[in-house]
Amino acid sequence: MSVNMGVKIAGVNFKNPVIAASGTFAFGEEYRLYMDLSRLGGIALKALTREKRKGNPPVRVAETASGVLNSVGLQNPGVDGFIEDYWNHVKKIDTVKIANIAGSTAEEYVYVAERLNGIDIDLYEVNVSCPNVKEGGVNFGSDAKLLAQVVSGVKKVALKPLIVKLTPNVTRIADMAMAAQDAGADAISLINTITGMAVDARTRKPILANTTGGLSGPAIKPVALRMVWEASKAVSIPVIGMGGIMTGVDAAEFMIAGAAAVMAGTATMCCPDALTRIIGELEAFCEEEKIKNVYELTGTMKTGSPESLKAFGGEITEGKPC
Amino acid sequence: MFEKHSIARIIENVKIAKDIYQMKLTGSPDAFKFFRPGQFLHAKVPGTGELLLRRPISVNDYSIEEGWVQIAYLVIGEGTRQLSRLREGDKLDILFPLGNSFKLEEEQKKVMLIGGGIGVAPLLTVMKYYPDKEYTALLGYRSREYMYQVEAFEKKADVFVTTDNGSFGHKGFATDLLAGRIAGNRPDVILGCGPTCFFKSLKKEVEGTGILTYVSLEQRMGCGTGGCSVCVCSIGGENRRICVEGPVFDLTEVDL
Repeated sequence: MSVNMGVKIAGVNFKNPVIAASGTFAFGEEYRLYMDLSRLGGIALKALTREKRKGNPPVRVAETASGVLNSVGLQNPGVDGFIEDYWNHVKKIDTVKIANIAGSTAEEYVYVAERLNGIDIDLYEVNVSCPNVKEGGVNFGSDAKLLAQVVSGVKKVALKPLIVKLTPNVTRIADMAMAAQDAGADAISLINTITGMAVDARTRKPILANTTGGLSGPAIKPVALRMVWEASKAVSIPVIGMGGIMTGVDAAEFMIAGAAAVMAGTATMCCPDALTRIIGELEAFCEEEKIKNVYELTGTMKTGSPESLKAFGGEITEGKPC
Repeated sequence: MFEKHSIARIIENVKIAKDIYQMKLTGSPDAFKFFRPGQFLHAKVPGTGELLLRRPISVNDYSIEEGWVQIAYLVIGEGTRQLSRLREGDKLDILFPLGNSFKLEEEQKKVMLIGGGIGVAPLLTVMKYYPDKEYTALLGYRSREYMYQVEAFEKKADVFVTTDNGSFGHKGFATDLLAGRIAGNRPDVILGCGPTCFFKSLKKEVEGTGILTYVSLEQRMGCGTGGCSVCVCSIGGENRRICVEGPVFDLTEVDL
């Protein structure tokens, strides 16, 4: 039995639901050596800002239990540098291309989107969740009003559908998901990294030069799954899930929890060809489960029956965020 | 295209000095054929556990004909400790070869190799790859018990050893000997590898001499393939990725 791996998000057809997460795949070119890039569902390109950014000084990475802390700080060639020096290569990659947009001000996001309107990118991912920059980033994503302001500003000018990438560093993810939807988002992606820190006990210094960084990897998967589930219950637009996906079964879990597609990043840091392996494993999982279309997985989590919960005197939340 | 990502088999894994191990591996013959001195191997820590990131490790010997490479590593944390426990016949998931390399031009005859600590390891492959050069090697170690591969250098080079505590050779750092050696026999090029403080002294020593100096830098690394941008160093005011744009850089351009 062959599985139909295609998914459609915000009117865009993806070959399969596995997308390279922004920030871990550069602009794709580096991975030609390791895989046939056209096998990917999509590539979320490294975040772009108005001006070129140098990013944070090293040390930028620390390993933690089943996780990775990073504080790259949006190093990128700037949107114009990207169009001039990288787009010619990127446009030849036969997969869905997602431009990740970041900025320090709402106007900067608009500028970047306007510049990208001139090239054949498929979707925009509005990054209101980078924890590693002083201005903008996660500040926009953790305040529903600021988030709405950024998203509606970009929406006004964008010629492509918008994905809004949410941060987990908030009290109620459902509120942020709804704010993004109300401001015009065509889809949401989550979770970006969780703010964390690593300390060297011998030197009594933080390991990262930026002191704090964003935690990713299997360590955050349970948090990510919970948030994808809560967000997908709160909105009607598609959700792209991520956070510690290392295998095809991990990808299936996110889809079952409510995601229409998934992104993986840390997996690529461990193994450059992880994404194609994950796609194969997800397809094999569907075959084993006799699922004809991968999209049938989305939002199929079976929560405990009211009867069984009552028997233990439990509160029935019926899949609603509590 | 050849497969840089492969599963290698361990031929030998032995302790060669205090906290320093040497591992000989055989694997993808295509990839091994493309090795150049200065390139590194990115090893996945065995098992599927808590440690997700690979460890970038220097190659200290290789044989293209026989299809093996040998790496030398300092056991410094849990990941390298687990690597040190691997035995003959065990498998290791590797990315190899990665990064750029030390390059010597035809007219560069006199070569000075200068290394500190585990940074001594990758310099050995330069002499194998470019056998027809005149080598001087300045090797710095913490103390006598941390010394390794001195004999291997002695086969092809004039060797000078330093130890921080004076337990062997000159007391001090390898860079202390540089000025004297340059004055006696000026090299056409200097190739170096060591910790950050080593590069600072090296830069001070070679500044103004006009001798071309290339160094192999290290940094905490992520993917090893240029995708994640975590292993940067500042080169001429720009953050450059050590894994794909390095590890070898012109010392005059390195911001220290």
